[in-house]
Amino acid sequence: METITLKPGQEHRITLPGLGSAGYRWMAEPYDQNVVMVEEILHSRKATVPIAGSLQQVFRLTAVAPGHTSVSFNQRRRFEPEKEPHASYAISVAVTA
Amino acid sequence: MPSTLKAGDLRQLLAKANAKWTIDEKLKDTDTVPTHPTGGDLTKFVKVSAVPRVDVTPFFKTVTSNPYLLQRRIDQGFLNLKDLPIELQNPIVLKEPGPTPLKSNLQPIGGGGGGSAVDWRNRFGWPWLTKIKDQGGCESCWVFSAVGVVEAMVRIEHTIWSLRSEGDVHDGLGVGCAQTGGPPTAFNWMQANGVADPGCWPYEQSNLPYKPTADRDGRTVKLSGYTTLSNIDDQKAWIDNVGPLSACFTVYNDFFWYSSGVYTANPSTGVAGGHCIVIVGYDDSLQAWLVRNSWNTGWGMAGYCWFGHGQADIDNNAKYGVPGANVNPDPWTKRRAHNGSLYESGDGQLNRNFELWTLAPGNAIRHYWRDGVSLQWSVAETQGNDCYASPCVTGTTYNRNFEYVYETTSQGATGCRLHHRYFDQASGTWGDGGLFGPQEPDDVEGLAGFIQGNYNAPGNFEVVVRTGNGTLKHWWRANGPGGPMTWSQSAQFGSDIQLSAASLVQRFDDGLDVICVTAAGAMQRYFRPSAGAAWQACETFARGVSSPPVMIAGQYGATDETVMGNYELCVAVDGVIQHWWKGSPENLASIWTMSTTFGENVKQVLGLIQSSFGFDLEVIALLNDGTLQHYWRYSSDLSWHAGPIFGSTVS
Repeated sequence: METITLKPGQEHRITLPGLGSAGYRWMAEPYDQNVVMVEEILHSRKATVPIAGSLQQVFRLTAVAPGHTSVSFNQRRRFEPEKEPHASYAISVAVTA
Repeated sequence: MPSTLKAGDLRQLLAKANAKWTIDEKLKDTDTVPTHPTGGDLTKFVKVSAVPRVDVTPFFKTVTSNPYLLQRRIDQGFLNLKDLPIELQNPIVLKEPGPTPLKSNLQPIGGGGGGSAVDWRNRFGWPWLTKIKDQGGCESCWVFSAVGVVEAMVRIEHTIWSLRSEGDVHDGLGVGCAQTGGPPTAFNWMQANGVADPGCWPYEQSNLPYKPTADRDGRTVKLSGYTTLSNIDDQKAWIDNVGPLSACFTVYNDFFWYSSGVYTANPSTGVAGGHCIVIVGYDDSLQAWLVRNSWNTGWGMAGYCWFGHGQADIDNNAKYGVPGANVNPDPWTKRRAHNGSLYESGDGQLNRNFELWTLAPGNAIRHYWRDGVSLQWSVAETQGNDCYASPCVTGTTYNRNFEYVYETTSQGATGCRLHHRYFDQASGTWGDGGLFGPQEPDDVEGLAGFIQGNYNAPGNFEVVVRTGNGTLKHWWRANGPGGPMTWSQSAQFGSDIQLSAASLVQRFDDGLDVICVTAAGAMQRYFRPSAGAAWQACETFARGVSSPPVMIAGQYGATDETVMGNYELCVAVDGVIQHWWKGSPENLASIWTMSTTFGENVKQVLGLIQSSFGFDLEVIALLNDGTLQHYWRYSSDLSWHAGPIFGSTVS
């Protein structure tokens, strides 16, 4: 698992391969929001869209306060919650003063 | 980017890779491999502004095999009823179901639009779309979109289920799971190579090297072209008068959450990518397209969605349709829909000619054919001199060859035997498959049931025929890769059999059913559940039967492509034809029922098919004077009608 160290207020971006044309989305699983905040940076209409392809998903991690947590992302179809994720990614985040 | 690849170079590459297909034979080796006619990068959306508007009315003025669409085109003034052959005037008895009958308000060019609502999931009282599919984790929606249209058009135009494999196109193109493309890429490949069934090459997500079965050509629906549409009114008119369309749009993140109602995109949720689907209807009252997705049934309304007009660029991008006359189903698709001497081939302008082989003077076999547009019967070739009774014909996956088996005249010391002959579509000549079957003292004494079955690929040939001692014998020819292609006897079963018949049918579960006539004059079904298993005597029905029946599995009762249709059987008894039917063979509770009798002076039923003419049943009967007569049953009211008397087996 990748590990990053941030200071409060510092940001880190994660880019994950998209699979929206197949119905899949990367979603962050519950994590410690006292340590870090995770937010997806959405593509606007002006993005160059491949005809039947998917755009990457970009997430911004913002350090909140000192501590340690890990953030897990699962790529799944929200309408198939009972199925195993198509792909998974996790990152360990250490926030130091 | 324009192509600089030469046709000869590509041919060499394909040959080196043992590809099962090649490129347009009209191209010289020195010609540059052409790019798609719309030009440009096919990984990008084709905008409607880049596509000239086409006149769609010529497509609607074309006769279609589908009687319901024929009715639509007549209603809207595209076709005149009086110009059609009498057999096609069936639509006059049809009624458009639903609360909003469609009127003749269509103005294909310059405004208007189609009727108020179309839904190909269930239209005219029939289902037209296969079950919802799942592209899984591959970016292959563009293939599902194009194949979905072809699959629907076979069902609509030829009234038969024909499940196609997206994997055949995807892997045939050589693209990986993560590679994108556009529907034109898939349509172009299908136009050059056809599209096979999943049994030939399935859809997988594992980037396997493409190795379809050796008999791919006989398992492909052929496509002779598609049309790019840019105008919404034309698109609606197309859906109303022809069939579904392939389309692409921008996926916003709220699309994943759609579950019902009319989808209205919320761009603030962000763009996830592009996506291609099949538009299978529209509803003006909802101002929406009916979209068929490829994300399995857990998404949306069991895989479908009402997609608001103009939403998410769906109407900024070109849509693609396939004219009905441009799809030509394969013999594998139609293998259960015919039996006996009659076969609907893919020949002719509308890919629906009838072919008939009957006994002729001098123990010859005469080939008749009926043009699928004029509906006129003609004589083709006459050949052979050892035929004792009219042959049982099928179209095989061997290059879509016509093949038949018949009982021979006495071969001297070996008595009557079976003879296999085939028409090689590649060379246009007949070949001799040789003699086989029992020899004295129990030589052949009956019509042969003959099919190409599911075992192996190419599927084995299976024959069941009566022998002189009143039993049935099952013969088969191993056709699989490396198979000896020699005939072998697998079983002898039954007793007190009076007649065998062109009544051998293979079930979806690979079991074999065959109907014979007993010495007591009843019909009896025999069943073999699987290869190597014993044949079992099953129910008897009817009485006073003294001619061989013909049996098929039709489309009635086939609610989707996974459900086998009813058995349909016709047999001549006391000069008239009895039509019998039985529900899906897997339905044990179903019993044989005689629906009606028809015809006169009938000696024997020679052939039975469920044709491309809108689920109609078609029968060829041998009359007492040796002439032939065509009968058909309209699907609209199930009424039987006498067609022309033609030909002769005695002159």
